Amino acid sequence: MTSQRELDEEFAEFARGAAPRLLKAAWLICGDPHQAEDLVQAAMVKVYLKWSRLREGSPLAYARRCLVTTHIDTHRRTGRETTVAQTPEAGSWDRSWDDTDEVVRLLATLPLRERQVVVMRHYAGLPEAHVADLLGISVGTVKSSASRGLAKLRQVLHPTGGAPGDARSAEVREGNHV
Amino acid sequence: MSDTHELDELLQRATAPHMHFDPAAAIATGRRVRRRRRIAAAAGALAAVTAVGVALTAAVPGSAPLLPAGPTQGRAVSPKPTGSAGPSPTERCFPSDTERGTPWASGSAEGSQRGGRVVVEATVREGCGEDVAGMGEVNGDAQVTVMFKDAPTTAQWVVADAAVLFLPKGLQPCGYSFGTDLPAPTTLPQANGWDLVIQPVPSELLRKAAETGTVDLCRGSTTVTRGLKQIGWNGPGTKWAADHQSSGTK
Repeated sequence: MTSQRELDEEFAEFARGAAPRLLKAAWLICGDPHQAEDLVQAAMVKVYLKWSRLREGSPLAYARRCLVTTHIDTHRRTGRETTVAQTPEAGSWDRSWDDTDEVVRLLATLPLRERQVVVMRHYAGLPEAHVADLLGISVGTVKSSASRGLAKLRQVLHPTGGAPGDARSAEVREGNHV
Repeated sequence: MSDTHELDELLQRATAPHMHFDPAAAIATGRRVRRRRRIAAAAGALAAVTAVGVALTAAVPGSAPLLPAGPTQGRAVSPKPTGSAGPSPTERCFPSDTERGTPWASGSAEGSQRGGRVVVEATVREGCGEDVAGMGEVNGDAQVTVMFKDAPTTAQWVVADAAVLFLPKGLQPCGYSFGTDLPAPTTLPQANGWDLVIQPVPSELLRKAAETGTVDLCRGSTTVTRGLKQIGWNGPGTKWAADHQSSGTK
């Protein structure tokens, strides 16, 4: 029988290995490093609580699921998303974007669902079926969300006519995107 | 390069700000959550998870700390009030995960129902509205947690996996209502001058002991207390449990 100490050591080893990519994925989704830390911490606590069962399975997949659902919960609690092209003085939902990497600013132009799909598909490298399972949506929705997200990012990355800022202006949205 | 590959590369290449994650903090928080869940379950009278042999049972503050039965004890009740009366006395024992109370007595002895040791930890929690006891299991050891609302001034005891008695120095148990041929107890002197006595209880007597058990206490050969009831009996704990069981909420 594995002792609690051994289980804890196993978990710590897993957590140390998985945390960097989870932190970055969380940061790409929420755009704020502090919130990303909180999300990963919350997800890892949930993993720890089920570690004795998860250790033989896919703890990373469960950690990703916890991360995404925790972010959605936080997002819903804090209000609807309002993503704007111009960086606001204060963050409208997650945080302000003005001190984050360009790629986060790009991702911020996407609705939450598309952003999650894009990050999980193109950063975590998960197959569409896994992303669908992770987010609790159909594979078709994953495909359409990824396609729309990619198209919007393409438009921002390679604006045809007009300045990039104009292209981003087209991305201004308000309302519920979850 | 396709847009997809360009995006892949963009995301991979993006420089994330420095972020920190501490596995030890996650473990510590997880332990607190686990412990709190166990004790919160205990507050409802009973909770037993048996499928994987891991049991969280407890009981508190009612008349049957373990394996209770009977018309008022046959179902678990939520420790969380849904009314507007504010937190229950038991919930006030847990203002936050970080507050653990003042250690009052602790010790361990062989004799757990699960084959391991009985590990007892008693604390004084000023936020508690009543004395609370709970039990969980860690690696075959029974973990008995008792939270006193105030430091005891008279003998206290509860049955949770084993009989656990907190006795002023000089007192010893000299008779239990639920059986006579019991294994030898272990007496653990405490720094506060009290004795912690852990009395193993045969499994066939455990239910009876938890439901109706009383103890006689002696000083030397003289019986000084007869039929001492367990923590919560006929006290605020019982009332609390009755309130919750009769209405389902509070």
